[in-house]
Amino acid sequence: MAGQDVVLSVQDLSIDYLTRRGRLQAVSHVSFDLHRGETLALIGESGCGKSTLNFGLMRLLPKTARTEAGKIVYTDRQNRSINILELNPRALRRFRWSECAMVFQGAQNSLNPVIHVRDMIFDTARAHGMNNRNEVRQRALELFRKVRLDPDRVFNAYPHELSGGMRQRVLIALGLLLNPQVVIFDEPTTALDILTQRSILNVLRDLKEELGFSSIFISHDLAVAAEIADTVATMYAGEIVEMGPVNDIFYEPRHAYTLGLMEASPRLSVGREELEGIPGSPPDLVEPPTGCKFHIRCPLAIESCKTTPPQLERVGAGHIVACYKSNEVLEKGKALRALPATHLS
Amino acid sequence: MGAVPLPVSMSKNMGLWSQVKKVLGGVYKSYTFRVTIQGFLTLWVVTTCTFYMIRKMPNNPIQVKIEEFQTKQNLPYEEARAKVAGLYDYDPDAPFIEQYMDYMGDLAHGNLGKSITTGRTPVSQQITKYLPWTLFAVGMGLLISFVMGVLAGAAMAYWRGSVFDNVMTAFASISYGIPDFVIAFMILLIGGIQLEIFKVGDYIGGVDPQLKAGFNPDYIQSLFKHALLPVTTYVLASVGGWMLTMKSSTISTLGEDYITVAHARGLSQRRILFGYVGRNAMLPLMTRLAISVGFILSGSIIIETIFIYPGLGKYLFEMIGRRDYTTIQGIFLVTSAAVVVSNILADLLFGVLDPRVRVGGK
Amino acid sequence: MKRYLLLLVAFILVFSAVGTFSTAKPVAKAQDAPSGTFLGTWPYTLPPDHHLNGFDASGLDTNLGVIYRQIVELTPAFYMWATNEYVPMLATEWGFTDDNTAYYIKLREDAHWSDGSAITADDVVATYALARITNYFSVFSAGYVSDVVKVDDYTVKFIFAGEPSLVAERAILKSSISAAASYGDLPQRALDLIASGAASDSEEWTALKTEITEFRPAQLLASGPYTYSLDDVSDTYMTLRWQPNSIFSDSVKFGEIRLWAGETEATTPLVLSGDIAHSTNVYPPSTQQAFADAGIRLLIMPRMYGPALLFNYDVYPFNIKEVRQAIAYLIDREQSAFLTNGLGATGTVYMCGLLDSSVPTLLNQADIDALNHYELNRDKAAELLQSVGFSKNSDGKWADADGKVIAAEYKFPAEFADFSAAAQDAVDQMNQFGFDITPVSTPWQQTAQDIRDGNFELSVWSWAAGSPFASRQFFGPIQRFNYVGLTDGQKGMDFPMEFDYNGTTINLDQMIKDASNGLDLEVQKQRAGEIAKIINDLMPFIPLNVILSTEPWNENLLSGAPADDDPILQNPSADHFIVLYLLNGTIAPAN
Repeated sequence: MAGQDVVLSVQDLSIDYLTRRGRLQAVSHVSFDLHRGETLALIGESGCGKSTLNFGLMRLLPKTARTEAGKIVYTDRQNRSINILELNPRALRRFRWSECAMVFQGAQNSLNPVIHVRDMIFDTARAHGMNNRNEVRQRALELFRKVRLDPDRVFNAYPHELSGGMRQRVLIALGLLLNPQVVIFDEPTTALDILTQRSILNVLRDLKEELGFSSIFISHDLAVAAEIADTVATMYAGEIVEMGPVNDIFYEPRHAYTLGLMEASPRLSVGREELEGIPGSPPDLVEPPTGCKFHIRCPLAIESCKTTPPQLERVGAGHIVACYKSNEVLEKGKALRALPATHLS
Repeated sequence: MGAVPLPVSMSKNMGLWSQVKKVLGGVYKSYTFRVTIQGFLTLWVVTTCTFYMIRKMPNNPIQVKIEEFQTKQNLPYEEARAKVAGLYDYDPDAPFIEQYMDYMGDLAHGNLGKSITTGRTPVSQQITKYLPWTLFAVGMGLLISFVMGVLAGAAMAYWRGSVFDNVMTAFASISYGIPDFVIAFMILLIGGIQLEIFKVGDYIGGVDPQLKAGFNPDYIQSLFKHALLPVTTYVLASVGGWMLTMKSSTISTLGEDYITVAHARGLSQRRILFGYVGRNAMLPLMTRLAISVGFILSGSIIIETIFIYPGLGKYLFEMIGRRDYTTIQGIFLVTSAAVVVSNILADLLFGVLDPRVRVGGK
Repeated sequence: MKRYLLLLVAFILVFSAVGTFSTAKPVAKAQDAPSGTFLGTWPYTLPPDHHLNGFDASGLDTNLGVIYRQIVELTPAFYMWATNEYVPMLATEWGFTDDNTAYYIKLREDAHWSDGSAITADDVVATYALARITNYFSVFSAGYVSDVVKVDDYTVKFIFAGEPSLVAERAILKSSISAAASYGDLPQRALDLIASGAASDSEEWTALKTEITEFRPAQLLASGPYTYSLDDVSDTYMTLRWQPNSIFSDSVKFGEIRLWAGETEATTPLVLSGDIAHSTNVYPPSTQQAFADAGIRLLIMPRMYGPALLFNYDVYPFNIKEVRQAIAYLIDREQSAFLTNGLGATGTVYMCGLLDSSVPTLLNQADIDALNHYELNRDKAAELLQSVGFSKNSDGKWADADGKVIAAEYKFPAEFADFSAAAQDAVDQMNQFGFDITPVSTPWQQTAQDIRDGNFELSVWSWAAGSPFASRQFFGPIQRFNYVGLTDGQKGMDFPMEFDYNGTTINLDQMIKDASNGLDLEVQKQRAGEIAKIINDLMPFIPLNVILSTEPWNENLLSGAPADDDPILQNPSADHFIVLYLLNGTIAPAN
């Protein structure tokens, strides 16, 4: 898969937090490649490390975090490879937003409540050397139009004068202001109502088609991920346990955790009332369990799951999984799908 | 019948009335009008309450003066009473409501009345005599304390956990915990007497008594020199509060998402610290600042007393001791007015700084 | 402990440093002015409150106090307590006229005001005319003197309204004489009004009175060697400046008197730093100790009052004589004195309403011997209680026949360290003995008000006064804080002043008022003896102790203070020795 079109390559990345009790391994040995124009969805429960991973990509981690191993290689438009972990503060500052932007959850506090939207736009532009305010303004208004906002009103508004959905769009527009190659979306639809979610997703899809950026899309909501992603990676306890093309993951999941997540997600159309969650809770990452970290909660666990961690193995085109029982999972998934009228999209 | 014209005139009247109502409603809704009315109401309530309460305090000006002559001059009670009899233009037996109406009548004409115990000096004259000193010293102290506290507090939050933070936090807690008069005595005893850094007598009072008042370098220098100890004491006693408040406010601001976003946007450290962290963290301090500004006028009683600084606080303290009702009343009134006005200003300022709480619409 | 050490270090250092302070700034002034600055303190007020009128209590009396007023406006004479004699100041001769209908003083003929004009009998007459209209002097307010007459240019006669009086003598000899010229036409108008026979409650009289008290003299004509103008009054200190025309101008040793503003809290550091050489403020025992540690001498002088335990006679069982006597027996007054003001207080000995130091001169020996000293004797106290039906109950508390324990609230003023210490000690001692007393502290103004209102059970306030006369010293709680001295139906202690005693009905109030009337000291002693014995027997209040002044005196800055056993130290501050010693040059800058 590696080659010219990989824009961001994460290799064996591990991130720990220093805590009072010891090191918390938030991300361990994560590797993936993001291609030009690709959308990678990272899914998993809260606390699985997906946000840490993304903050790590932009080096926005708090002081207690330590990037222990690995590389993050970014390929810029001139095809130069840059290891982000080695950037000096100045270069890092330039890299941020102009090369890789991040769209945060917009409902609450991602916008400074006491300054105008326009000033946040101008601040961002000026920080990256765009001093022509008129040009910046034109660009911002255009982006606002693209995210289907009333450009002039929003441009001159304070954040609190906008609704949650509008703020999310402002954030998206702000993220695209400098035309970055990679955009990280951190749960951009969480805390929005269904209709707003839908329209945000539509906006995102259109933008992606039009502007062609690559993106990493973090969500705990499989349905949302399925709508937007090309590739889906499942994270559990700081590790990617399964990754593959969106259809493979959804129709032929090979990891017991992925399957569990799918069963846990609500299905609108069915008459089935019970919602099978995954029993138990995520493991303690200061003292992680031996073997497969999921074995405690896994209904299919066998003896070797408890002792030896399974390695990522290729199970299809671009589809990798770390599970001893991947075949049983596949069967179980098929059996479930055979039940009437389940669907995700 | 006149049934037809009636509704016309009625509707005409109603039109006029609703017009008036609209105008009145508009006036009432107007922020300035509302605030002014509220301000005056507050002052009226404060004035009435203090009027009642200070006269309910035990003793009256005459009794106090008799006590003073007995203890300070060693006069037997009867002699003291003879000297004080008829001294004051004050009748303790006048009906309360009559005194109150008289006072309010004067007040309505902008007249604060005359002092009871100080030879009928107009109260406004007393206030204008002592107020500038307090404004100068306490105002300067507040300004220095606020600026230093805010800068240090922000720095402590930014480098939290560092040696700097630990040392400054310890200092701030001590400063916050020690009463101002203890600090004042420590400065005098350690700085002035033990280490002889300065000569106590040269720094006491408002200005060197041997200089002529005027706009000349010597006099101005002396003003600052004599304000040094009160200001230092005030700053030491209050800077800790600002530091700790600013620190906690900054820490919570640093944890806000929009700060992380600002970093992600590649903004410069400077821009983030001043435009985002500093400004937002200072918002909660503005209310406190406004209240402090209002209370500048009442001065700092104990500091002014120890350093014999001729401010309004020391004077108020003396006048309370003497039960000089009109003077106490006048000083309270001016002080409350200052608090009311500074609160209004704070509201307006707050609106400028924080659009979320902009008052009275746009 | 740590703080104490720190202070100690500070004071030792200051002591070593005091010598290097030279606060006396040589300021070029009038020729022949002595160099040197006397560094004192007085809580004066600031202009415009500060003014130079001597007939308004907020004028010179407030701003100079008795001490410094006497070195600006001289008095006819200076009183020595130890010998009961007067030292001449402005007067050369004084005394009762042969027929005892008047008192006369003769002024020194060489005395001049600071503007160079002579001091004459007209000034005395003017002073008393102004004082009469304003009712400002006690010779008028107490009704001793009916007229003041010029005999010749230097002699003035005070005509007695009734009996001649020694109290009036003292009042005449220790009142400052003001310059008629300072008051414009007011003295003449006052004399005219008096001559017209106008009544003191007439409209003209009241109008002139107001005019006099509201008059603001432009300058202060001084008979003493120091004077000042309002320009010399700053917020920090006021300066009294030497002037050459006084009879004492040649003898004084200071070119100026600097009086620092402020009270105890402001003057404490200034005394320590050597900016104040002598202070009349009241300092708590710990500060006195700090002064002593810093090598500052403490002059012990009478303050002429002390804390007394006051009873409310409407509260059972304090209306019972034996209970009050028992309380007098059970309280250790030496302990009370020590806790009240350290070494600056002594336990009361004679327990008769007169100061112990005055008892030998004011009473006959026979009466003194008859006084019960109520020496500490708890068995005697118990015996007295048992004699009126009290006994100790199972809790160890004293209870009456109905089982009612002796319980009360003891109100005391929170701000007065000395009085509150005396009160708390009394509470402790009574409770140890088996009473159930609860201390309640209130602001002093409140305490005084509550006592006047009779809204208390037990309380503490001062007894005795700074006067050498029995009637003034007796004037204590039973008059000031009793119905006889109060208005508006206030009851105060509600101690009955008219009652049967040893078979006759007496009026104690009148007896005290009359005690010092007349000129016959033997008669006065007899009257005082009667009163002393009644008070000693009834114990209407318990005089716990007598407080002494402890005034810091920095010998590195000043020389000439009297030795500790010098009789002049028996003078209280109304007759402070520095008045005499400053004027006659005994006090001088230290070398």
